[in-house]
Amino acid sequence: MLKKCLIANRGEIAVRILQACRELGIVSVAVYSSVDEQARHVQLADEAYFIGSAPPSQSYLNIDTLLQVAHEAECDCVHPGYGFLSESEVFAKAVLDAGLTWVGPPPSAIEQMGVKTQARTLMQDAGVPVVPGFQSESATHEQFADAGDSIGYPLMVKAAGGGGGKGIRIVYSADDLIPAIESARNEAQKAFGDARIFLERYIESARHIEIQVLADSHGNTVHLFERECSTQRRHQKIIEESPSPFITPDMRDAMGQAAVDAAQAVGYVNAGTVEFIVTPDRDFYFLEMNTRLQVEHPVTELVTGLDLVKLQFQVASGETLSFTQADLSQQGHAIECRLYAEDARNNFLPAIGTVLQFIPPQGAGIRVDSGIQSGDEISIHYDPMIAKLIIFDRDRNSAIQRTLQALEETVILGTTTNLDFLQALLQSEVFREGEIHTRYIDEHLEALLPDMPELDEWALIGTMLHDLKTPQLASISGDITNDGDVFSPWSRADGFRIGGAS
Amino acid sequence: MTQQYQYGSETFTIQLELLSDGSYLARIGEREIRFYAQQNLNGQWLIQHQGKQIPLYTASEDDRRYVQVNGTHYTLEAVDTRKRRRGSSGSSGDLTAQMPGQVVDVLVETGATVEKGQTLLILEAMKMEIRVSVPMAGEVKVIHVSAGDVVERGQVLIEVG
Repeated sequence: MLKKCLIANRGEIAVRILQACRELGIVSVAVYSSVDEQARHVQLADEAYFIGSAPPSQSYLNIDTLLQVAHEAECDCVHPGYGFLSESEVFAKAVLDAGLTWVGPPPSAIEQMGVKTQARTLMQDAGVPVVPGFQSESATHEQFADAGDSIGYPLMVKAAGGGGGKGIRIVYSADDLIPAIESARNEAQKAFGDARIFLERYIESARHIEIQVLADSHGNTVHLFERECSTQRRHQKIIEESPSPFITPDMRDAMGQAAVDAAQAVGYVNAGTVEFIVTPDRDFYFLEMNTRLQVEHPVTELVTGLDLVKLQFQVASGETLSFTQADLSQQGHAIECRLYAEDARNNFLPAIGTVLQFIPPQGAGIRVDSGIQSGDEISIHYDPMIAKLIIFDRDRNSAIQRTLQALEETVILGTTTNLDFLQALLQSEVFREGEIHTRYIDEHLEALLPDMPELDEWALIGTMLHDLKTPQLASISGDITNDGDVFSPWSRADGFRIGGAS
Repeated sequence: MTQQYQYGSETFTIQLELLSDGSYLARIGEREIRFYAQQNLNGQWLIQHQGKQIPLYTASEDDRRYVQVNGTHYTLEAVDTRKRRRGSSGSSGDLTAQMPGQVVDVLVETGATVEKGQTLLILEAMKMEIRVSVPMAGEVKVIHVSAGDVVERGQVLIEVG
């Protein structure tokens, strides 16, 4: 087993990795930027090193500094978490060149799945279904036009070199194709330094369903079933669950097999996720592969009973998987809600500030993964995620009810969050029926957004109590007693006397 | 003690008194509510009213008041009745930051004439670009920031008159 790990990340995923390290007896080394000095992941680690100022490029994305810390701290492995450098083959190679173990896939797999057009070709060769499309580095306008006709409209122009919504255009008619290609190329060039684009059929009312895969370094690859991730807003996931209310057992087997084939085609080792786009007719197509651990991995952990992060360390240590595909099964139902510091009523702009109080819910089947504690600042430099709330129960309806109950008990003061938006989504008929597709929220946002609640008189009373209790706030109204303490016996107006009738 | 709070676009007035038997009396408009309340070491309130217990959580920062009660969160602002409240938008022609971020680019110079809706500044936060534009035509009086500055919510960026 590996002995000492540099966790090249922050926030809740760093805390998650720390837990696995503790349980496996791996010494943990955390890194922190100037604004993360008091963060939970720093407090929980065995050792912690300062790596630079808040902007990620100066800290969490600085390969040289991270390698320096790994060397100084005498780590034998690096876990990159998700985001940041987790899918950087440059970082992965640098870690390996430094003689350390990379808790993740081989750099070649990261690289092969990193360029979308390359990944598509690989998948086609491996017999994995891909979205009908067209790619060619040297196509003429005429050739693109022909390709557009054969794919059919609407179609998407997508950037080959990156994602995140950049370099994507939806084209509804042949006349708009060439201008869209030019525009997408420009944006892609600016965002990724790579103007390559390709065409793909645009699938309406599509679902995003992904398969977790896990492979050891001895040739064993399994899938750990699906996660339904169609509850998205502008391509950002909000709620994930397993099992998917939409796929059939046959689809599960077929998609699982396709995911395993995809992983094997790139010689994948360790944990990864193969994303599929699923049509209303229940066809599925390879979309892309995420060559890292994902945010929503707890959903899979709860329905399979496996600890994915510990498995990552075990695989990285050279161990063989102790189970086969036949040993695996899904039990019950898990739902994950991402709680963000954002203002749903103001275009979901991040609501940065101090988390004055955070009391997560507790109880049977309630899991909270968080890197935030009361008093923490939510910084402009990082993802404004407060916590992931992951609920487990025997079936989907029970899980939804339990999630609603848990959200009602959650207390988060000091910043605006999407908590009431999550509640509205879980209460909506479309969610309960399992009919949300990836564009649903974008298309129906106004209807889904809850109105600002009417002021509960207890909220008003509570606010007043709070101010009464805090002398400096009590002075706001101008009613100050001698010492500002309204609980002082000197401020009573009722004739109270010790030892005598009042 | 009487206090006014703003919630959404409405202002609410509440009066709260501690009575001789240790209970509280709240007056909101015509309503009078009598209850007991205790605060534990975590700052959580426990209200006792008509045989029921209501847990309640509060926190504050500057003028803002945060409350969670009965499964719902509320954000209010204390209205300072003694002096005129410092408005968050300053004078009508000021551009303020709607959220904390970093200035990417200032697109005008002092003295420039600007049109209604013209973008004067670009802010970046959370990998998003926010174009800050002026709500009315005028002349750029004072530019308080430059590219690279980190700004807070409510901070005045450019004064236009």
